[in-house]
Amino acid sequence: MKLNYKTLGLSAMVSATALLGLQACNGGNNNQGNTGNNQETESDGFAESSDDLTTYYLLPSPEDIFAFSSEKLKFSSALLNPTDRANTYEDSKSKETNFGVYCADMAYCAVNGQNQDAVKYLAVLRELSAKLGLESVFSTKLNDRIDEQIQNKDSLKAIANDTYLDIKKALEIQGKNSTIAQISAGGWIECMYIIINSIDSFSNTDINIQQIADEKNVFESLMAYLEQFKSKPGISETIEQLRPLGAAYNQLSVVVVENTGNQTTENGAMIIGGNKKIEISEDNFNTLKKTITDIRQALTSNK
Amino acid sequence: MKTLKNIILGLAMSAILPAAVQAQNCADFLNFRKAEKPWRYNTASKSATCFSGKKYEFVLPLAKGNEYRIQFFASPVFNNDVQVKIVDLNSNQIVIDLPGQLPEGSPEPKKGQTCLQDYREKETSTSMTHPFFDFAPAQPTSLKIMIEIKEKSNVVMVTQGDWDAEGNYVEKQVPVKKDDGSPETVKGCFTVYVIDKPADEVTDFK
Repeated sequence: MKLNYKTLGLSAMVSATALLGLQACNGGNNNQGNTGNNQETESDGFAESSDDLTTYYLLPSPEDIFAFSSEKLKFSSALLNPTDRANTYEDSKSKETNFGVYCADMAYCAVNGQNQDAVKYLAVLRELSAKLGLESVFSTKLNDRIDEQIQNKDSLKAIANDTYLDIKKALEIQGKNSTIAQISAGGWIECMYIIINSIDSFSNTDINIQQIADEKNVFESLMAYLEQFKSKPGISETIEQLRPLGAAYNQLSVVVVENTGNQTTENGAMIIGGNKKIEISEDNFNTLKKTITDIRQALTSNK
Repeated sequence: MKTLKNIILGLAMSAILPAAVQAQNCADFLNFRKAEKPWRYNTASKSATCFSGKKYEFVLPLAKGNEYRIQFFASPVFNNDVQVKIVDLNSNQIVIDLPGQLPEGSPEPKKGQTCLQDYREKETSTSMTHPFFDFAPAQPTSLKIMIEIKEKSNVVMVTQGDWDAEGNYVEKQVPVKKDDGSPETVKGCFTVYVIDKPADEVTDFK
């Protein structure tokens, strides 16, 4: 057997990093216990929902969302938030939510192979990052990587995703988890805005329309995530801005579908999800479209 | 070929360990994120700082049309002494309820018996497999992953011997509380690692 030493070396290196990550959190006397409700603790910065239970909401990144739908939607640069608006965002809330908006825009460009636009939005993120204390994410190494791989769609997608993750990590280390929540909110709304406004007309069989309906799950997690930090500046404002979308989603019907009784797929994956399906009518779709568009416009125009 | 590669990677992982480790963020564990095609790293993955004796929940939305693979990793300080329960929030069914590892003295685990302790795919396998759990949502749902990190036991079983009435020396295991300053609460990382791919086929609910 021929060993791939490059892979081995890389694997060893990332393994060491992984083990450092595990071991570094090892041991030590720590009797902190809980720090009370709704307080951020440790560098994870989560808020405990009760004395002995901590809840994390794991949300998809813009690239995760667009990975599902991008190949079925036609790219339109008209849907992007203009980069020159970045200078108009002065307060923390608008900087943070629109940082998320621009992350989504960058991911949208990257997954659609719009490399020049993706780099343009990376540049905007770099500018905004300085205002959020994230300069370290945009290192020389990242800039070089962008320059080298600008023509490669897959590489740019990877860069977009890695940048988003590095941003989240940097914020976690700084204990700024409410900022992550704001960025997540801005990013998610922008994704929904782009997807729903890419759809020309309603159809019962359009999977992108069904995806919008199915994102109700993510929306509920997002709202619960924001609620954890409602005492932080700007969060309650974001919650109130998003609340009409909760009302719009609640209008969707949940129907029971027939259960075929299969427990696993052919390759052994457990089939889950129960037998409840979210149905979306044309009226629902139009309401969601208007609501999402209004929220997005309010966020990006800083009103 | 693949087996030898896995063995070498495993040795590499266990060998590369500095004696003194600087304090780092648990999120660093995800630096090694890689997924072999057709799988793709899912950014919902999370590595969190956790404490023994505490409970944690990770709420993970899953989309129909994708297949997801979830793996768990825990800092050695926890000794795999955890319980993981996963609830499908659409159906409210418990889909996974497993310990981190089997009790001491148990035979090697089989697939589906643990969530942290490695197992052999086949009795003849020379390498171990880290547990993984594959899910294919027929409808979009969220999984509530509930983690209980057990309290670190301050008691060790010590072998003590004594003479019985018949003059036989009998040894037995007795619990003894440690008085060596061992911490009662320890801190470590717990990782929920998620990868996904488009579903090849999901037997749909009609």
